[in-house]
Amino acid sequence: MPYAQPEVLVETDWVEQHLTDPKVRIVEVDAEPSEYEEGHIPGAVGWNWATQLSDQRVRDLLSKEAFEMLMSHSGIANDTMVVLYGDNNNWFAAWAFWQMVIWGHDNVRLMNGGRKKWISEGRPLDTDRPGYPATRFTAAGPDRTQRAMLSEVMAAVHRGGTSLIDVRSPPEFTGEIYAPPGLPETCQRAGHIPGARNVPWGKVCNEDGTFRSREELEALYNEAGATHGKPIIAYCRIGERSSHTWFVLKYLLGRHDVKNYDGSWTEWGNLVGAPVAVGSDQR
Amino acid sequence: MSTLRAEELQSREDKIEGWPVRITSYRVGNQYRSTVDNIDPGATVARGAGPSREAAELEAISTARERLAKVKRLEASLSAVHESMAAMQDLFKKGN
Repeated sequence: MPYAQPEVLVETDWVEQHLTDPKVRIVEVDAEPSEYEEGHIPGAVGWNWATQLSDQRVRDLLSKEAFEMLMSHSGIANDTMVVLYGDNNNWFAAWAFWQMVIWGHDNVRLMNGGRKKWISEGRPLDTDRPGYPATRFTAAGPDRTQRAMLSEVMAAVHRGGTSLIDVRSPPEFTGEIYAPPGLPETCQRAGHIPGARNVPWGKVCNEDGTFRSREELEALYNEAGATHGKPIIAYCRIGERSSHTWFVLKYLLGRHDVKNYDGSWTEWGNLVGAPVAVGSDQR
Repeated sequence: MSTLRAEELQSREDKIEGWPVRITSYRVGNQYRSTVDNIDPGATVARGAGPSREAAELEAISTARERLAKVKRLEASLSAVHESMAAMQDLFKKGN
């Protein structure tokens, strides 16, 4: 069975054939931004998720103006196809994808397998940072149907009926650890949002970093209660791993009401009075 | 354009500070790169680079060991808090 919207994925072969296509802009977004400097797809622009894809004063996404500036300075016009890829099987590439959809740029693709697959296949790498003539990109939106804010998650917990998917690792979910090793953003309490089911983000990927088949993904999420027709909210620690899950549920499986709660555990786990559950989920 | 390719890619599974990890290394130009990935959840824990595979892996593994040891310490702290809370609850019950 094909993915619900297979056109949102491009394969590494396709990308190598479009390295100099003027209508395509390749963008690398890594959890560890120095990866880009060490070698990237020739012609790819590098974005730093912490400084270029987040507001630098308030904890928030880019403003519309800042997003337009980033796109314009990257040589991306409204009719440019953006191909995103990155390390950790596309964690922050998916985060950038999610922000593009929020700001109305639907002509965006994810490179299946990300940086890991490109490197393992011995495809060309470049260390030069390319420069492109600036454009005048104009954003639309924001499309608020892609993002869950705290009040909505809190209401969903009390009301029920929404599938909450916690995509962090099992030790984070159960409350054994506060954050994955080496990642600094942490919280005052460990555990998970009551009622959430644990589907670690990595379960959607094959060994080579590509996405698993639709049948395998359907089985995974159906078993966790994230079925067709049900509202779904995905969360993790700061919203990047859950944007990866948001991508899978929305585009590969065709779930219509999927939101990413980017406040995630670093918001919930720091809230005074927020209910916290520990231990494994109840299946 | 100085085009390079990743070559001599090797990957193996191991344990560091009790955590299952995957250690990957490869050469790009005259530099070796290494990453230590946390098999679950599958994210990179640490990176290293050097003139040889051994040097790159040593740097990545050392950093990973330091980071993973800190995670264990947090886990231990949390367990201590839970034990203290349980002890306080016991005392409260006895007091009543």
